Parts: sequence; C-alpha cells; structure tokens
Amino acid sequence: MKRILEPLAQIPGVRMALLVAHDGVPVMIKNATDSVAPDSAEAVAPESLAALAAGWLNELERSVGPLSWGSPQRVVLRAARGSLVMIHAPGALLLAIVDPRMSPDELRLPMEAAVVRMQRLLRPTQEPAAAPSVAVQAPALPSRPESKGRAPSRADTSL
Amino acid sequence: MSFVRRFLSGSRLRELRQVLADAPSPRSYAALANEHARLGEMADAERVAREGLELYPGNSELGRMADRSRAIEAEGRTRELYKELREAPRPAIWRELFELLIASGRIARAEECAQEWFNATGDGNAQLARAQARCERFFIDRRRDDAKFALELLGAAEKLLARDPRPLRLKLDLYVRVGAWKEARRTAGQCLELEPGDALIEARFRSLNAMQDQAPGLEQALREVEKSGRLVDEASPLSEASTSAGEIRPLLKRMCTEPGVRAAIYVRGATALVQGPRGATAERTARTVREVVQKSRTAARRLGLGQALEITLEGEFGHLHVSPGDLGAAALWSARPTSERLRQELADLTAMTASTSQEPEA
Repeated sequence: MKRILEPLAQIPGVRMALLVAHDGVPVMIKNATDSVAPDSAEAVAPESLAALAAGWLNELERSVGPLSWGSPQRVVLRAARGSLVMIHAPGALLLAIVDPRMSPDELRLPMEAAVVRMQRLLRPTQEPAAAPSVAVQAPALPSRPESKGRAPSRADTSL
Repeated sequence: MSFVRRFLSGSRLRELRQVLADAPSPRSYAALANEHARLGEMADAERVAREGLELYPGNSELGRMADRSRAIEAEGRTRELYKELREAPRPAIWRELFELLIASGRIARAEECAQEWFNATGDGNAQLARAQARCERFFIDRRRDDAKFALELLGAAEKLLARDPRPLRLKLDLYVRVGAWKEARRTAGQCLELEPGDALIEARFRSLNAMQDQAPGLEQALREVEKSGRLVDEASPLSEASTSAGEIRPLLKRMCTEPGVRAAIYVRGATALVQGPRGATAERTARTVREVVQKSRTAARRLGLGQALEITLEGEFGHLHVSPGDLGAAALWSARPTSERLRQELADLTAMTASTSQEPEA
C-alpha cells in the first residue's frame, strides 16, 4: 500500500495522500516530505481529516439521494487554502490534499493510476478467496443423501 | 546605487513631481509612486499613492500600488525583525513582529510568533497575542474549534493579566459576533467591574440585557456560525438587495443550451432558479445543490481549508459543478466534464450577484 501512495505524495503540490476506509478510519497516511502547509498552525490531524472527509462524502451521498444519483465516484473541494480530492478505491477512499496553487485536475490521472495499482495488487488475493466461497455455498434447503443412480423423477415414484 | 544613477533618478523624480503639480491625475500620481518604488523608497511610494487615492478614491491602480508598497515595506521590516529576534530576542520585537504579521493577514505566522514569544517569556501579553491570532483565524474561517481554543487562550491570558481589560474586551467581541448574548452580557459586566463608567460598555451591557432572553447557548451559537458561515453582525443574503431574477435567468438559459448540460441552477437562501428540469425534479435539484453547498462549506472550514471556492461531484449521474459565492451559489449539472469556460461563467455569475447586492450599500 505504501508503494501506491508514495508516487502521489511525491507530486509537487500534494501535501498529503491518504487511504481511508468508508467509515473514516485511516488505512494509510503519506505526508509529502517537501511540501510545507502554508498554515501549519492550523493543520488538521490526518486522523481527523480522514474522518471529516468520509463524513462529508456520506453527507453528499445523502444530499444527492433524492435525485436517485448514485454515490459520487470523484469529489473535489477547492478552497482558499488548498483542495481536497477524493475518489473511490476498492473498499476504501483515496484522498489527497493539495496546495492552492495546484489544480485538482492535475491529480486525476495519478489518482486513477493509483486505484488501478490497488486493484492489481488486490486481484491475486481476491480470486482464490472468491472461488471457494461460491463452491462451499450452503444450499438453501437441506440436501438429500446422495443417490448413486439417476435421481428419481416424480413419475418413477411409486406409492 | 551608483552616483550617476542616483543623479539621473533624482532628476526624473523632480520631473515627475513637476508634472504632478501641473496636471494632477491618477496617472501622474501612479507614475511618481512607481518611480519611488523603483528606487526602493516604499514608504514614499505608499504615501504618494495614498495622496492620490484621497483625490481619486476608488482608482484601482493607485489602490493596488498603495497596498503593494505597504506589503513590500512590511516584508522588509519583517525580515529585519526576524533577524533581530535571532540575535537578541525580546518582547518588544516579538510584539512588533506579531502586529506586523496580523496587519498583513499572515495569521498562522502571527500565531507561531506569539507561541514562540510565550514559550520564551511566559508573558501574559504573549498569551493574549495567541488568543488574538486565533480569534482572527476564527473570524476568517468560522471554525467552531478555533473559537473554543481562542476562548481557552483568553481564559489563560485573563489569569496572567489580572485587572487588564484587554482579554475581556476581546472575549466580549467574540461572544457578540457569534450571538452568544448571555455570555456576552456576563463578560460586559466583568468589563464594567474593571472599568466602571465606560459609556460604550455600559450601552452594550444594556442592549445585551434586553437580548439575552432568547439567546442561544455558546455551543449552539458557534455551531450555527460554522454551519452558515456567517457571523451575527453580517447581513444575511436574504436581507440584502437581491439581484433580479431577470438578470440571472438568461445566463442560466444560455448555459443550458451548451452541449451535454442537463441543468443550470442558481440558489440563494430559500430562492432558486432552475433551467432544464421542471416541476418536482427542478425542486429536488435545487434542494440538492443547496445541501451540497451547505455541507461543503462546513466541511471546508472544518478541514482547515478555508472558504470553499468550487465543488465538483462526478459519478454515473454525470458531473455536478458548483461555484459557491458569498450570497448565492451557481451550479451546472452536465453529462460531460464542465469546460473551463463554463466554470469561469459560473464563478462570474456568483461574483456578479455579490457585487450587485453590494452596490446599494456603497
């Protein structure tokens, strides 16, 4: 996961890249080493930031719900002291906080690439896990003891 | 600067002064201020620009020059003060630096300076400076946590500066601006104990006395400020002169004719103009935009990003681009990404409505 966030955090203008669970719990936080927040005194803790961003997305989902719109896949909030860019990643949210001088559109491609890398990373672990789950699925009704021959049809049944 | 250059610039200054005396105009003031700035005489440049502004108020070039000269001058002084602090730190330097940073709007730096000052001396004035910086931050961002922290710092400053009315006055100002009348009344009473007979505080105390019955608690008042983004002493968008719908509707209609655009919306308070969807869908769309703006404004403040300038949502529904302004918000729902030109038009629309609302006040 570190390798996924590393390239994002290294882009000039990116202050922080985070991977956050949908409930707002941070999975991975990567601070940019060369970027200094202009208002360091006001910097929000990454954990709070993750929770607030996830909460905001939930609120947006609720707001667009009456129009039968699905959950937004990419959300951008450009503000006076920076921008927040958030996209859906497999089972999580990928967030980036960027400096005001950087356009959030510049992050579109790198963030989408990061999501693709995540999907690629998760694929080998997901596939073996998915296959047995289908195979061992319990039947809805209790099964009969296995008969060796052809299953008796309704016509064969004699009283 | 070489002697020859100084001689030449001196003659140029004399020439420009003569032109200004013969035919005063914004241009001649700007030319003289510019020459002073070129010579590095920022105080003189600002003085000339301000003199010009007194004669031609509202001239944007002179205003810009005065502000810029002052900023450059302040930067120079800031550098000197930082150097002096490194060599021989003392409260007077910290105080001047703090005031300079606050005046130039560098609130975070000012707070850092006050923190250093407090760490070094433990002085009550430093604590008060920290509180002042945090209050300024709150007045800009309207974050509840900032206000709470400012009040904590003010409490600490009160203990350190016994019988000093400044922390109480700042506290009173904060309470009044958020509409916490009960707390404001109590603080005004404390101020009067320290400064009996102050006519201004007495008048304030009387008016607060009348207002405290229906007053919200401090927590509720702060929550309301964070939610609405407006302090109590700021006019609500609805009470200000409204831009007529006739000016906005054609713009929305034109935006709606752009390829891929499904709806163009303008919301302001409880009023909304929607082009595209009709009937109940139009109402729902406007409500959605209003909620998105409200939630995003609060989120931007709580995330420490300051005032929200632009919001974009993308999904299977298409693209919703919102441009929130001081009074209202314009939004565009389209099937494809909103072009730079349309984004600019949305921003212009919100800016236009803000400026037309301010005109009657001017």
